[in-house]
Amino acid sequence: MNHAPFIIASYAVFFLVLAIDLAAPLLGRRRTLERIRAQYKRAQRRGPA
Amino acid sequence: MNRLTLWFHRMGSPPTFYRIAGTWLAWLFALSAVTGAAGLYLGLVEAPADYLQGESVRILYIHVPCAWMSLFAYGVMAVNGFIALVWRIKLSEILAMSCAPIGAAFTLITLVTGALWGRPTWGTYWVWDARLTSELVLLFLYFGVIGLYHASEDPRTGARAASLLALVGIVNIPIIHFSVKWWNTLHQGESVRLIGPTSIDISMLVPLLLMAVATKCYFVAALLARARVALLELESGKDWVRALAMKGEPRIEAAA
Repeated sequence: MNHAPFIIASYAVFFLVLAIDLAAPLLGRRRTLERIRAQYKRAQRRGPA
Repeated sequence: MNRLTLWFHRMGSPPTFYRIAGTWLAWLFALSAVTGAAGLYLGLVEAPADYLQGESVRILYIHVPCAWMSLFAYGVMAVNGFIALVWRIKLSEILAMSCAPIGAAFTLITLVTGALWGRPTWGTYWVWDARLTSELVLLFLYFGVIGLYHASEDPRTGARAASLLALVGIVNIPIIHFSVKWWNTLHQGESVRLIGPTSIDISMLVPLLLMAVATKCYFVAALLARARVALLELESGKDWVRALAMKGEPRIEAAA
């Protein structure tokens, strides 16, 4: 039996799953900071309550 | 107050944790990349094929470290969950809940690479053997923790409920570890031991240990990265987060 497809598939799964896992916090941090910045800017435009 | 207690108090402060974690995670990702590259080179190029398994042994250089990490991540999650439940430390709640997706990722890799290794070696992708089944239960436990955490509108309530599930599920960890001793399983026994002789050749042990270091560094770095995002979400009304969002770096002295 040719083992190469199993080895390639295993390493592909390894890198794919870890890449997805890593992308979540890296993109999430930027999105969260942008959302917080937008919230504060909206609050500043409205002025003090 | 001694130095260690002082260090824990300082690390418990969200802006300090955020800043220090930001520095550490860059170094940990770099260390993970270097050790991972060395481990993959030695495992895929330099290490010989196994006399029984043939070339499929190269799958084990990722399968085994990921399996170790799936258990280690659960342990870290349960310890932080315990601290969160007993002392109600916000940072422990965040760390516990940040462990779950990373642990689930490692468990998923373990199960898939194990199946891909099993087909050429055992002749089947899956058997309902004790080790494989208990590892699948671990994946469901991770999913349960993630689901329970997101089920509540208040993240702190969700974290405490999920921490309780994580603590109950810790019983599965020794079952996974000792399953190959307690039952007659198709899965082989342990080859690498912390204490006692190791039954694999040094040419295969070195890449395996390098990959273990790489996955461990990746786990800590990914955990810190996730914890930083969760901390921003939880503290979004605080001055230091406002300063960070508007400028770029947290004003620690103002928040301390």
